[in-house]
Amino acid sequence: MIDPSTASKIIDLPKWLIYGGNALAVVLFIIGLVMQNRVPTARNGNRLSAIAMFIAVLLALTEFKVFEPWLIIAGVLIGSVIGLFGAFKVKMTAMPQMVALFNGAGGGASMLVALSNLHEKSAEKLGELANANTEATLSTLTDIVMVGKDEISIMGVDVAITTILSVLIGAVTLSGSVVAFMKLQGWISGRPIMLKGRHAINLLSALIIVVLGGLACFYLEPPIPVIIAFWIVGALSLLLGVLMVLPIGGADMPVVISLLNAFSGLAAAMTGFVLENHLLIVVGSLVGASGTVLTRIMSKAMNRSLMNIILGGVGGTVIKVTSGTPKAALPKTEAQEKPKTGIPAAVEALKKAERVVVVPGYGMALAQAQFEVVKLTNFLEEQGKNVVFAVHPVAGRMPGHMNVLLAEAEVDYEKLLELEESNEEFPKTDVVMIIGACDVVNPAANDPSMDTPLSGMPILEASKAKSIIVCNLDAKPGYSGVENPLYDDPKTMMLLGDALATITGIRSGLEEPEEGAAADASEAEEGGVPAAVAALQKAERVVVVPGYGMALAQAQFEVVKLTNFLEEQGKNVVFAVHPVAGRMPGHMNVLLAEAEVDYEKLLELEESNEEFPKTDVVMIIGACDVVNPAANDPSMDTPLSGMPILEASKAKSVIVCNLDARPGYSGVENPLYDDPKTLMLLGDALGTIKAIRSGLDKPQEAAAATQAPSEGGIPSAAEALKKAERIVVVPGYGMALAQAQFEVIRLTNFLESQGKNVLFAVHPVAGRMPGHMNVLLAEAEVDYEKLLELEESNAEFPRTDVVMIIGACDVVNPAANDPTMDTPLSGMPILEASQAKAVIVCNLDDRPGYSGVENPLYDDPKTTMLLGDALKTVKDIRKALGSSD
Amino acid sequence: MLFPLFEGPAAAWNFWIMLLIFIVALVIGVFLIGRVPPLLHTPLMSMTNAISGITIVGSLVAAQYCTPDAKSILGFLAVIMATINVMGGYAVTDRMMKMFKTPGKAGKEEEHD
Repeated sequence: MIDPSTASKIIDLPKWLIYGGNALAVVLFIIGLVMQNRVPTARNGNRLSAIAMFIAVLLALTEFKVFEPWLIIAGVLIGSVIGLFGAFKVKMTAMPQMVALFNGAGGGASMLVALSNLHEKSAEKLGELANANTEATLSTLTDIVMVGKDEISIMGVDVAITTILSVLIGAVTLSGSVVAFMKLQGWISGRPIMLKGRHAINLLSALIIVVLGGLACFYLEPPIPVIIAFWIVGALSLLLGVLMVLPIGGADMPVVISLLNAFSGLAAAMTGFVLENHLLIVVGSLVGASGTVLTRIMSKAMNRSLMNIILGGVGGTVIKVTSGTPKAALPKTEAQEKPKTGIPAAVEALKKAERVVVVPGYGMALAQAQFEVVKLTNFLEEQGKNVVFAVHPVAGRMPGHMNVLLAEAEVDYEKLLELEESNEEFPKTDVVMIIGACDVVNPAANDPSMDTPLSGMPILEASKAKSIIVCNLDAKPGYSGVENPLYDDPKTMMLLGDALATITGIRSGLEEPEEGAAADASEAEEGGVPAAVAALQKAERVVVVPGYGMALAQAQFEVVKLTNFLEEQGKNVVFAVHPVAGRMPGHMNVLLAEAEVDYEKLLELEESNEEFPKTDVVMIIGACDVVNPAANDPSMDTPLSGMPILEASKAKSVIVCNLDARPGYSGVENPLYDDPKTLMLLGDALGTIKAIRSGLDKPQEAAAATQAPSEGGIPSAAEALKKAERIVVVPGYGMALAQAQFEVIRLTNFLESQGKNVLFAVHPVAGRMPGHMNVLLAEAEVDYEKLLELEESNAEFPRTDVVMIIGACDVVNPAANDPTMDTPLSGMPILEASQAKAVIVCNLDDRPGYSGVENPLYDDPKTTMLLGDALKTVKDIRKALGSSD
Repeated sequence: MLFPLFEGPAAAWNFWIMLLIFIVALVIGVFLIGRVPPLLHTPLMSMTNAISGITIVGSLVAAQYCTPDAKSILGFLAVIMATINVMGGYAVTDRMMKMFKTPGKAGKEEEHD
């Protein structure tokens, strides 16, 4: 619509066709956007949008007045090659920076078009002035609005304003996107870069832009200074863009990229104003709106205001989580410090050490670790360290046992020190490595204040060394049964687990000094991975929470291999995707889609949070802030407070596959890491996930051991029910949640058909409203005479053979009756199920109920715990009893 | 005169019509985008980003003369950048969307392979 009335076009299409064509393009653009609402249509929507673009370009070409398209052809060719090359070469993990770069190009183009238009108009004006034509006329090329009677301007104020906006927004988009690209690509630090005085520079630049822009708008004469003014505006805008994005840190990138997306659209719309092109205005503002909506969604999900993000500054400091229960703080120092720093710390200590003493014990023999130990000591000697072995006379299972083993591994016998020599050596020793020994190094033997079986026994005084590394299977006392105070010594590093693996880990840590992460991963493999494997084997519902760390580790394919494997095992696996996980909106979705994850398995925030309480295992892969429960803690005031998070902490157990245990981008420490149900697998996520998968692939050892008891539950419950004569069922809210009432009644009907007496004990507050359980049982057509009230029930329990608790916790918690305990339940009348001969608990999990008071009944030896979905459990019991459907 | 747009009737109308179009399109955009699931936010952004390359239309006009003046050079650069935006944007969006499998059909096809 560049002046469609002009007659001198090379192709003279009728006006209606041009307008119709433009209208068609707009409609296609909109339909293309609408088609983004659903996955199946999204791809075609994108193609439709591309067709619309093609139409728009063709129509623009028909507006030409001359046919000299060589610049255009050259430009399109160069642009296509660059654009398509980038599009097909970019890795999915690098998508944010690619989108940023394309976006910057669009913004830059808008800026250039506006500047080009300015030059064109001023050239015309200069020509006119040269012709001494001072009369105000409309240009034949463009609608030049002449200002005032005496002034001669190159354009109207409206065009001038929109030109400035176009230049400003386009330039900010360009330079901002380039900085964002460099940050995401790692060319410059992803951390917030706070230049001193940037606010002052910003303010000054903005002021100059306003002044120059104002002058240019209202004193548009003569043309040359006006052009210079516009170029200064452009340059300052580029500076503004740089300064805007520099202080914004990596995790805020989704917001920035959305914002820049909005800007590029607005720049195009402004260019539309400049050129009086309706198509540009419509399409540009569609994009502007889209980017704005995304920006709002992202900043909401980040719990930050846009202003807050642009002003920057988060992520520079680490905020210690000081509040929270002391309980949570205590395990932190123990559980967190030791496993995390285990092997790397040992490696570090050995690197620095000059004198090393190895104390072998029977554990070394059991682990067959002697060859690996000697390899390690040889390596240490090559490094110029002094290494000797301290051999206790009774170490091992026969006299000289250790000497034989070490000789087998070709240790020079001169390096084997006896007791007295050893004890002379220890005070000079930097590091003592204890490998499978306990009693022979137990300082309790020397403590005159203690009377233990060890008292008076000569020991190896390892405690006198500067630091101690203990490579034992566990921290339990040795044969004597006396606890070893050495284990709690602050200078002791406990590397528990198979000694062979630990030693191998240390040696590889020493040999590959640069790959600290690898050592970490191998540590994780030895300690954490088997536990993670066991947890996953038992799990039925698994949720994976991916984060930017997964992208960094390029672990998405390996993650999906793992989840596919889990699904083959009949487990339910879904992905919980936080809106701002990663570096741009939907970043994780793209990565997982790349790895061919069915998009229906990608849960959004709300869906995820509904899922977590039902989840057995949550695997967090490279995510931190988005699962940080501190965000929900009203007593804490952190940058995360109030941010919607993925409540992974509600799952039964959590596996964290992060590089380290440090706080995420927000700097807020994650209390989840210290949760006792959390398994920390630090190190390279790719390696960790691979190790887990290979652990799951070999189910023969671990699986057999771990699955047996869980399988054993139902048969033993069935057995108990077969023998029972009097059975009482205690329903709770969990039964309602699991919709298990009908299945429960089927079971009880079956039991009655076997001649057993079955009753229901209904607590007044079971469920979520008075009489809730009664209604449910009535719905399932239970005779109301079988529904016992509290007193009747408690009279019944002592005579009862089996109590089946289905989804109830607090109402059967014997802690309520314990006068020595002061809990929220204390004094509440309960159903005394614990008085029955046997108890079967069909609950989802063994966590405390609503009151938060742990249920001692669960630990009662007469209790059979059948955790999981009650519906399934009850059904399985009925099947085990031999009932058919 | 501060606001010359009120001067000539044709020019004034032109501006206000453009403003109206701008606002209406913004509103439509907000409604359209609010309905897109978070799942597709990246492809959506990538696509709208390609659409913002509509500025190519303006750049074509600016680059239509092969004259060695500032206008044409700027236009030429604008064509390059806008084309990068359009071509790269649509191509990369298509690449991403190709990966989102339809659960029933595509999933089974994969399994048969």
